[in-house]
Amino acid sequence: MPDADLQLPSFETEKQHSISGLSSGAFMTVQLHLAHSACFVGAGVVAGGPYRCAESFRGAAPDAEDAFSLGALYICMTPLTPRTAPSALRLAGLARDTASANLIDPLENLADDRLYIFTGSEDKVVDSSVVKTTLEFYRLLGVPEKNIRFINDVPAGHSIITDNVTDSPLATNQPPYINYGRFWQSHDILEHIYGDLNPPASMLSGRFIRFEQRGFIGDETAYASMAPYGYAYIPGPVARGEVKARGVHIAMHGCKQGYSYVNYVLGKPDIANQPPYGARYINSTGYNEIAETNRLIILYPQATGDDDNEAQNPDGCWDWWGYSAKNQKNPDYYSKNAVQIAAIHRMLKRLGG
Amino acid sequence: MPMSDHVIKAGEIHRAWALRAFSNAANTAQLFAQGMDQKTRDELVHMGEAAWTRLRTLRENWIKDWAGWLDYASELKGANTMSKLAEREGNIFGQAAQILCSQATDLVGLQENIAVDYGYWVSEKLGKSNWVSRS
Repeated sequence: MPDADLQLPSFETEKQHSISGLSSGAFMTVQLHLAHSACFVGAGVVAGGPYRCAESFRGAAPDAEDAFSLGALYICMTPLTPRTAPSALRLAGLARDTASANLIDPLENLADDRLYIFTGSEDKVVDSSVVKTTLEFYRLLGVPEKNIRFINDVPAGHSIITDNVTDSPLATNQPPYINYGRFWQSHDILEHIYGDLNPPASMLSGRFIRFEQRGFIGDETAYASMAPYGYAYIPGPVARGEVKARGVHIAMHGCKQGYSYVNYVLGKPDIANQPPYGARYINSTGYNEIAETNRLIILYPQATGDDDNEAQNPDGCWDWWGYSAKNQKNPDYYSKNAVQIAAIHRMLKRLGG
Repeated sequence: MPMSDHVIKAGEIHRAWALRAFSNAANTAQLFAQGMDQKTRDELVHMGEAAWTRLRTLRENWIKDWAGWLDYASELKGANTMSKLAEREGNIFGQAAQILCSQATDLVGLQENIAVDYGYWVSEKLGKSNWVSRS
C-alpha cells in the first residue's frame, strides 16, 4: 500500500495542462500529447521524434519488439541521411488509424494546441533531420503554422538549455544533458505555450512534493520501469490556497536523468560512484521558478533504469519503442492503455483534474 | 540452464542479422534489375558518404582514446606501495580492455546502423510496405 504521507494531493485548476520533455522525454511527450490531446493546450519537444517512429521499418527483425528497437536506434535517432529518417506522412497516417481505433484521443484536439519544437545544430544523439519530421508530422495533423515555434539554429548538443554557468558547455552531448546556453529553455517553452508570462521568481515559496508512483502504475511494475517516487512542485500562491492553478505542466526528463539513475559499468550498477545528477532535472532546469509566478504546477514523473528486469532499460529512458509491453509481438507503448502513459495520465488527473 | 541463453539468444540475433542481410541483398538485386534513376543513385551515394563520415569520426575518437590510454600507461605516477602499484597496473589493463570493448561495440553499432538504414531505404524504394505485419 502506498504511504499515506507520500500520496499526490489534488488541486483545483483551470485545466490548462501542458507537457514538455527532452530526448526520450520528448518522444514520450509526443506520445502522451497524442494519446490524451483532449487534456493538453500545448507541448514542448526538445530533441524528440514523431509518434510511433520506431515502427518505421518492420522488416528490420523477425520479432516486432526487436524491429522497433532497431528502428528507434537507427531510424529515429541516428539515420544516415534525411532519406533514412522516419516518414512524417506515413506516421501521420498511422496516428489517424490509431485515433480511429479509439486508442488515442481524436486528433482534432490538436488544432488549437501550441507547439515548441527544438533541435540543437550540434546534437549527435537525436539527429536534427528526425526532429524536423516531428515538425512536419504535427503540420500534417493540422496544427497551424502560427502555433508552432521551431528552432534549429542554436549550436547546442543534446540537452535542455539553462542559464546556469556551471552546467555543461552548450555544444556537448554528454550526461546529464543539461547545457549552459545563456537562456532558460524551460521558460521559452512555457512562454510559447501560455503566451506572455510573469518573470520567473528569484526565490521559491512553494512546496516540493515527493509521492509514490506505485499506486498509479498498477500491477505492471516489472515492465513499467518507473522509479518508486515521482515529484511535483506546487507554486507558493497555489499551495497556500491564494489562487487557483492555471494547470499542470508535465516535465519529462530524458535518459540518464531520473533521480534514481545509476550508471551501469560492464553490466553492473556502479552504486559506489553514483553520478552527481540526482534531482538536477527537477531543481535546476528553471521550470519551478517560472511556475512560481504563473500559477503552474509542475509534475515530474520519474523513469528508472535496470539492466536485468523485464523492461531491459538500463539508462532509465521513457518507453517510446515498446520495452514496457508484455506482448512482444504487438507492443502497446503508444496508446492510452500503455503502462507509462496510463500511469502519468492518472497522476495528472489526481494532481490537477 | 542459464548458459544456454548465450547460445539461444546469440543464435536468434545472428539469424535476424542473416535474414536482414539476405533481404537487403535480394532487394538490392531487384532494385538494380528494374534500373535506377538519377535521384536513387544520388541518394545511394549520399548514404555511402554519410557512412564513411561516421566511420572516420569513430576512427578519430579511437585515436584519441588510445592516445589518452598511452599517456596514462606510460608512467606509474604515485604508485609508491605494493597495493597502489597493483591498482595502477590493473587500471592500465582495465582501461585497455574497456577501450577495446567500447570500440568493438561502436563498430558493430555502425554496421547495424548502416544495414538497418539501407534495408529501410531500399524497401521504401521498391515500394514495399513496412507496416503490414506486426507479428
